[in-house]
Amino acid sequence: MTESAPGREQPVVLAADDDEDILALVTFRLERSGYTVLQARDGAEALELARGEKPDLAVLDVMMPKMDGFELTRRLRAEEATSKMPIILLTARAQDADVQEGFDAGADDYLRKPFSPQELRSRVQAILGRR
Amino acid sequence: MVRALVVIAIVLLAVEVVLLIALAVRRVQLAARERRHAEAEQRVRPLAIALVEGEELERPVLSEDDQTVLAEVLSRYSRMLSGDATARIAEYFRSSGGLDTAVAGLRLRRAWKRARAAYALGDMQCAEAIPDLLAALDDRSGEVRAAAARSLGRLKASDLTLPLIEAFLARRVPRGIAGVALVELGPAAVPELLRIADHPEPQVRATAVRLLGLVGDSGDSAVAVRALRDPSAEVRASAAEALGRIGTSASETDLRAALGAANRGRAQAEFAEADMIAAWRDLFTGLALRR
Repeated sequence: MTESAPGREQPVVLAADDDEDILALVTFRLERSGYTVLQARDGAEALELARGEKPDLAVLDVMMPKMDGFELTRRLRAEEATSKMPIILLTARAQDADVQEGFDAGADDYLRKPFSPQELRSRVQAILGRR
Repeated sequence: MVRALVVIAIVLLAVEVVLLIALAVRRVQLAARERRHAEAEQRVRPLAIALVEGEELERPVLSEDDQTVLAEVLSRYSRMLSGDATARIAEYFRSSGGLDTAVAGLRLRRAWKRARAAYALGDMQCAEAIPDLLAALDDRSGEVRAAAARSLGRLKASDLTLPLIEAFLARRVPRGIAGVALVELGPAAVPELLRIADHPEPQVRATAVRLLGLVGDSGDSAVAVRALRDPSAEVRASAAEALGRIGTSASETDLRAALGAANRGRAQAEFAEADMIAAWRDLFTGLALRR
């Protein structure tokens, strides 16, 4: 199992999506896999949670109100406290240019919707397992 | 005369009041229905998530309304998820009778009901619905045909490629919907597209090559290169467009040769204006993408 930050029993994952269904599915899958999940419904809320709770990894939608996932990724990378936090973008924006923009913004991985919950879990485990 | 006008005014006022009351009552009814629906979704959501995640749990006995809402939620999830989750959704619709009900719905008298059934079948992800959906491509209602095409694209079976292309070309289905359905088939359609690229009908060949550019990859570019020498100008234009997306650096040579031939003014019958425009546009698009 992956290592969590010191003082934490379980790794903490920030899940941000304005779609309640996606948020529920992602949360269920990750909680069943042993992670504590923080939920955000827009980019601004996600940024505040990231700054305050310093999760071990973030799974971010791109098309969100207040701040999209690309901008949120750039902001997280620009702040010292969150610059090294792994980020997976989970989005329906599937063009090559979108993928490139995600990686240019600083994301570690990009998962297209429709997505497999098992694949998301595997990618989260793979990233956190390396740290 | 004045009295008559007063009477008319009173009658109109009374009618207006009745209409306003009816609207208010209707609004209250709709709000109550929405609230009940939201409550039902809250109740069934844990069950829906457990179903798609393959969790073993005791299924509660659901009311008919809750079963309907559960089916809606699972249909919505099927549009968001892939892999094992969609297989479990399909199994739910098989075992609950939802699949049979929807297939039977394709034979209802009202077109909107047939269209609703055709649409639902795509979200149920049951491949056994494919023959019925293919038959629905010939329904007398355009709405039903469009829903059937959309659902066939969702089911992603590669042998649907030619029927969807034929529906697209015959305009039995709006081009936008058929196009999206064909693209939704994705890479699974590539083997069939490679076969259809040799079809005797030039429009079918052109559509297959253009689609190859959208869902194929550089390993499929040889077919598009060959299509640059097709007798049909439309096919050659599609080939140039496809190579702009999936062509390799080697295919730049073939594209430039096609442009060069057009520029040297080879027989007008061979190179239509569409060739040159498409080839110029896509050569530069392709070159730009590779930088």
